[in-house]
Amino acid sequence: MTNPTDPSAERGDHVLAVARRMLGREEARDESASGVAAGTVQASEKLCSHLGRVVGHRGMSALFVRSLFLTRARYPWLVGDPHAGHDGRWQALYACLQAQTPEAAREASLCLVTHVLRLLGGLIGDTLVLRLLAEVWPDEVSTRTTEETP
Amino acid sequence: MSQRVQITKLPSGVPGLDDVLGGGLPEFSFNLIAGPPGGGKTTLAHQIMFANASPERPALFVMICGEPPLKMLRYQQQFAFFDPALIPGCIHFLHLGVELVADGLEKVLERIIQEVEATGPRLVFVDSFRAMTRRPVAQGGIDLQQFVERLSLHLTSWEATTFLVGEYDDADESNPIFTVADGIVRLLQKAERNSIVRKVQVVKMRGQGQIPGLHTLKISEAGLRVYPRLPNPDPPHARPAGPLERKLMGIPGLDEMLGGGIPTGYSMMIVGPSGSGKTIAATQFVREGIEHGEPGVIAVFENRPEEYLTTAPDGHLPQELIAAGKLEMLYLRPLDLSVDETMEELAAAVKRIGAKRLVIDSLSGLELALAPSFREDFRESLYRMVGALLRLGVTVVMTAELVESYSELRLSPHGSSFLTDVIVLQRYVEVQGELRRFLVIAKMRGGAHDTRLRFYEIGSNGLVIGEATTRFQGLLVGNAQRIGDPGD
Repeated sequence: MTNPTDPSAERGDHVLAVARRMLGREEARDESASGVAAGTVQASEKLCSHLGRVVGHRGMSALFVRSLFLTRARYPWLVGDPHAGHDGRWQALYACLQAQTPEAAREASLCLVTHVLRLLGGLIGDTLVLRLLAEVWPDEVSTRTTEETP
Repeated sequence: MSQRVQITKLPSGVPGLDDVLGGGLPEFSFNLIAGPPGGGKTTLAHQIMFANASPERPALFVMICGEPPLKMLRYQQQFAFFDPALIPGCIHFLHLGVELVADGLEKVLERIIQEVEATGPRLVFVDSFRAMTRRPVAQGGIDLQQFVERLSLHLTSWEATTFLVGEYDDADESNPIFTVADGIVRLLQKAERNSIVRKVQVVKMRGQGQIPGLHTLKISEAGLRVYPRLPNPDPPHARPAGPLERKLMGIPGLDEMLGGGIPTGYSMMIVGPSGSGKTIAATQFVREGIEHGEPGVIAVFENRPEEYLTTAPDGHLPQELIAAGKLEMLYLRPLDLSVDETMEELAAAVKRIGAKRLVIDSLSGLELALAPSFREDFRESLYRMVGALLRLGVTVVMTAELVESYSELRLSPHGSSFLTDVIVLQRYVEVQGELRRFLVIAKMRGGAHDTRLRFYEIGSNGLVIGEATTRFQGLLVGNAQRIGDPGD
């Protein structure tokens, strides 16, 4: 039985690897916790904004709230109010992450984004999710990876 | 000198629908897909989109309220036509939330135009358009008619073929969309007892001749499929002078009674009670054809094909015939069939193997397999189906079960004797304390035939026609008496 709080356990390392590359791209060169937090918020905003055009912004918002809930099982300090408004949510996420060590913040960010991708992939299929992500992160979602997805 | 504009017709991607549309969807037309919830509107829109979207002809699918896009994408992926490889290169999705719609039609129009200008689509879908028509007009904003006219004009000038999807019914026909639209495809569905009957109607399609009326629609994992309504058969042609070409039944005795077999291109109905050997006679007809190089199709509505093969007379229908492409067995027994769908299946099988002979076993089973609404006009549908089958160039044998009635001479169930050229009537009769079978050719259009009643047996190789019943009378009323014997 898979562990619902460990997104990497369910679908191998594939989605996890894409999430890691996406976050790495947004983190820029600031390796502090604040840098990680800023990169995570930027990646999350882009993700919700771009995929929201297709699956609906409310749908993306609901998936993000659920992902926060799942991530909190491993990182209980990720306590931002999931029901806060658009800006409020990102501010809360930033505040939680930047208060941790860079390593802890990075792990939690990866877990959170992987949950979002995994949930979305479970609903509309990894292939479609990766194709949509490739519009924003073409290098991070390589063609080879997309074609290999069943 | 002017030349007429040639309108390109886009394929709908829905088998059967292009015929109903009059050849396809006119390029750059402004269309409405209307129907009730669950009627297949979004699926139809997607099927059209996936059939046509390409790098040269990109598509934009605008979702407005209605079904959450997350769910719509999840469920639409279950259809075989959904190809993720076309997203996002050839197909762009855009979701307009309720907030934007609440701002008024002008904002919605602006947003759609903005996206059209950004992506340059040649196909635009707006689903569900109905959500916008229910909104009050914003202060100083445009009303629905203005919105539709401007949208239509803009998209046509951008050379886009457009489809508005919405829940509309007959009461909405005064809606400006109905006036502006070049084409209207209406989907209908109706629950009847335990079956759902779906139909499609092309209400209008400017510039081309669609097939009027309601056509059967099915939705499966492959998507939508339309079965165009069968046309009324052509008036019967005068039979050519001279002897008729004939096909042997493969039943010695019966072929002689028919005057040398069934005339080619005729339809025959074998009518009789249960166990009288209708199926055996029909399979002998097909087997005889195969032996003479004429492939055959048997449409089974009762037994499963494997059971059918095992119950056929010894060696009459071996499985190898199917493998060799000389015989095709069709098993059609869902309880919501339509005659149009049955016809489509039969025609496809006939064309696949180049069949010259076709058996429908039985009409009673076919009637049971039809959805209740189709049973209501079974006689008329059968008339159209037989006409269409004969136009394929096959000779048709149908079986029909008839409950014995000794107080009247019935030639067929359903009052359908008029639609066949030949009727062979099989009956049981008690003769001197023994149950015996006899048959008679009750009808033979345009040809001399044996009118005598003949006893017959069912042997291991099929029907064995015996002596004429000339020594008895009263068989048809179930009171056989040897001629010359005093009656009771």
